[in-house]
Amino acid sequence: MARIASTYILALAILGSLYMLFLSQGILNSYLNFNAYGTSTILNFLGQPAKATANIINTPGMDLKIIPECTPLLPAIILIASMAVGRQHLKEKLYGMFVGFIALSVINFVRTVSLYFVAAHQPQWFDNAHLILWQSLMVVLTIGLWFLWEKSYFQSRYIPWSNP
Amino acid sequence: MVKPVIYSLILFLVFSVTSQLWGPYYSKSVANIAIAIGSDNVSGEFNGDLLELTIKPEDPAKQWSKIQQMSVEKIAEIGLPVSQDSRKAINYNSEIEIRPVSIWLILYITLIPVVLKSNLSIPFREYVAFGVICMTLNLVLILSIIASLEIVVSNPAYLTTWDQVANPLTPLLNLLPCALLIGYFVVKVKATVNN
Repeated sequence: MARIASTYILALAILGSLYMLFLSQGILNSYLNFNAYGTSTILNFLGQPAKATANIINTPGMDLKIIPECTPLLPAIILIASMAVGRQHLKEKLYGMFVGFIALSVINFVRTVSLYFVAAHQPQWFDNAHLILWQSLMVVLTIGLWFLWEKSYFQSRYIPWSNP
Repeated sequence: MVKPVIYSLILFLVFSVTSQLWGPYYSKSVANIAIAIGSDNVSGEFNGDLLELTIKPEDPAKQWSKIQQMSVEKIAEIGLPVSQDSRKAINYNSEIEIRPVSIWLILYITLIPVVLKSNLSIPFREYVAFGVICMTLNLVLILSIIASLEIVVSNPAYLTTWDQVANPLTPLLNLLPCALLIGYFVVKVKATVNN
């Protein structure tokens, strides 16, 4: 148990330090731009006039700025650290981390697009949706993804979250 | 496991949607405790979801000597309101978004049915104790922000570093209790599986 806990904390510390380093060096800027571009593209697909300029999404009614917390990076750090402590082979872990990151990225696009609609149509709900609802949902989904990954691996064994 | 997950989802929806009713009380209580524990040089006022901190230098003479060691360019870059004949203490004002401090609490409440109904070996008392640890971590993180700001005020040369490194990280601090809580679950599940 101590080994699992220390591995998790070590993974969190390494990934957190990398995140801080990338943030301070401005290395994440192109990733922020990618998220803004992706969100504006989806909004265009949904018939909304939106255009990304660097990390800002320009729409006729408002401008939305994508900052590091608007990306799936922080939940991904927690997910990757959780997956790192498993007994699975390295290949399986890397596969899980990759699929998990893609899943979180897709969910995050749903988050940014939905926040645009909330801001456009129900601005009084925006703060709660932005600061609390989606942030907590991302954390809950992170633990949910980890549960699914663990469950799929231990399907043929005793599963603690299923009734005997 | 299906029932606990459904209960968890219901709890998540209820507590996240209603967080604008109870969330500010929790966040403000934690912030008030942090300010009360912190030094007398720190005062805070709430403006909606923002905690507006005002930090006075502990030793204005020391602050002045530190400013004198700085180059004119550096003073201009930081934007310090000083002139050579002005020796007035310079306070620093900072705003912290405190609503997200309650995010871990939503996760904590959401996971209660899983703790109670699943076969995970988590005694409820232990889970409550872990909640107290997360709450303490909340408090410690806010205190660390205040302490780092006090360092900046006593030596304004650190202001640029604080703005570039520490300030963008303050939202990250809200996720640390969540990461701790998820880690706790990961360890418990792994321990159950291994047994």
